[in-house]
Amino acid sequence: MAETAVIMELNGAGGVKTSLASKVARFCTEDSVEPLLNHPCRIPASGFNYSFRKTWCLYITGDFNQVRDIYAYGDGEFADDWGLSPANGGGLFVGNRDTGDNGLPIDAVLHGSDEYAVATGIIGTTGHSIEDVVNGHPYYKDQSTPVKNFDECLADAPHLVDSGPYTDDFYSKALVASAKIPPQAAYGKKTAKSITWIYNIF
Amino acid sequence: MAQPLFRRYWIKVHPDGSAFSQFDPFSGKSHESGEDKDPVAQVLFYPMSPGLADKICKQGDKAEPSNLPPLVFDIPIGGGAKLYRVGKLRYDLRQICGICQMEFSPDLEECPRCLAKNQWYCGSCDALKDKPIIDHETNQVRCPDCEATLPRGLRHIECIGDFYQESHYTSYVLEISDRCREVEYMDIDEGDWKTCTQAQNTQRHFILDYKINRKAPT
Repeated sequence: MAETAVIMELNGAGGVKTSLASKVARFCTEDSVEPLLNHPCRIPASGFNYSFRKTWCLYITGDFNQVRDIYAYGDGEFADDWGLSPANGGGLFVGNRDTGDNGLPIDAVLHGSDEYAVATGIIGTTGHSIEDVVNGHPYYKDQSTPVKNFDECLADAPHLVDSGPYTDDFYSKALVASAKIPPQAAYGKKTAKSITWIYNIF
Repeated sequence: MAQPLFRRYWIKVHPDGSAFSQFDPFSGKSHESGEDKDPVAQVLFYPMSPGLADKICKQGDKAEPSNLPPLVFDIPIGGGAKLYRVGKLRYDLRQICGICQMEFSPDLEECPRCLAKNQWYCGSCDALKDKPIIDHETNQVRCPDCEATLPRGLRHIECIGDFYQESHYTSYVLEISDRCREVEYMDIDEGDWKTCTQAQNTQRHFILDYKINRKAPT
């Protein structure tokens, strides 16, 4: 049987994995796989607010010889479509490593280590940014470029999450994402956006 | 779980005339190109026939018959071919009407079939409110008519639900090189000379497996 693929979100201290199929993921100010309209992102009076970090991975099962080169990309319009005022520093940012795969290792057996860290912040107000010197994501915050604007990750220049290879059912390394919200951001309901994941099968 | 939907498949033809197919023609069992290590003389892409699609579905995969054109790629003698499949997974938000079950775009505020939409209800006025006061500071939605006297929160009457529609596309990449040559290089980690095969003059072909809906000429 060819592969089946699903995107999983990791939540809680232990990184419980939940399939996003038939769920609605929202950037918000709590660590929840399906927060509905609770704890929406808040626009700050000054400085920046952040959504709680989202941690997503790809789960692939089936009969395949090898799966490798897992990338993610968007349409380059997240900041504009969500009114995040990119001119003032807002946008959707993802964890970035100086070298190698940008994805977060979440499985000691598959990835060599488990670097998952629960999303933190002040519930209902702001999350901690990925690059925050104190409360940032431990796997990214000390990199020279700890985040990348996801609007730069396009179909012809996608974000390398996990180079693999995998020869059996696996969870990929994870994409860590957070919305950065400046005071100039627009209030209100946001349009739905999609992230595309691609992978090669040999 | 999303599965790829196959509308065309590849067949590798070896120099001795034998062939290795992505799907077993008798059982429909799927194979990936990496399982076949033999040299390749030709790579064919064939549209899915109804019989093979049926066998593939019985194996638990997804396939549908198509009339996509057959494609033939010759591999030069002394050259090489690298073939792999690309999976693309995307979740698109959609809305579903709780009244008539119609699925529609999240850009629409009301169901295009029965015109149902999410409403705000004021218990004091006993009426639905079209333009409620949305207070982002306090995350409250209040009645505009009661605001001047006794501010009152509104109840959300949800008729429209959100869900993600999974889209899983598959396509193929075929890289054909005119010739391959052995190249010597220094392995810094092991400190000795090794050889590897380097492909030259590589052409990259991207083969779609999508159904293209063309509008009939009028």
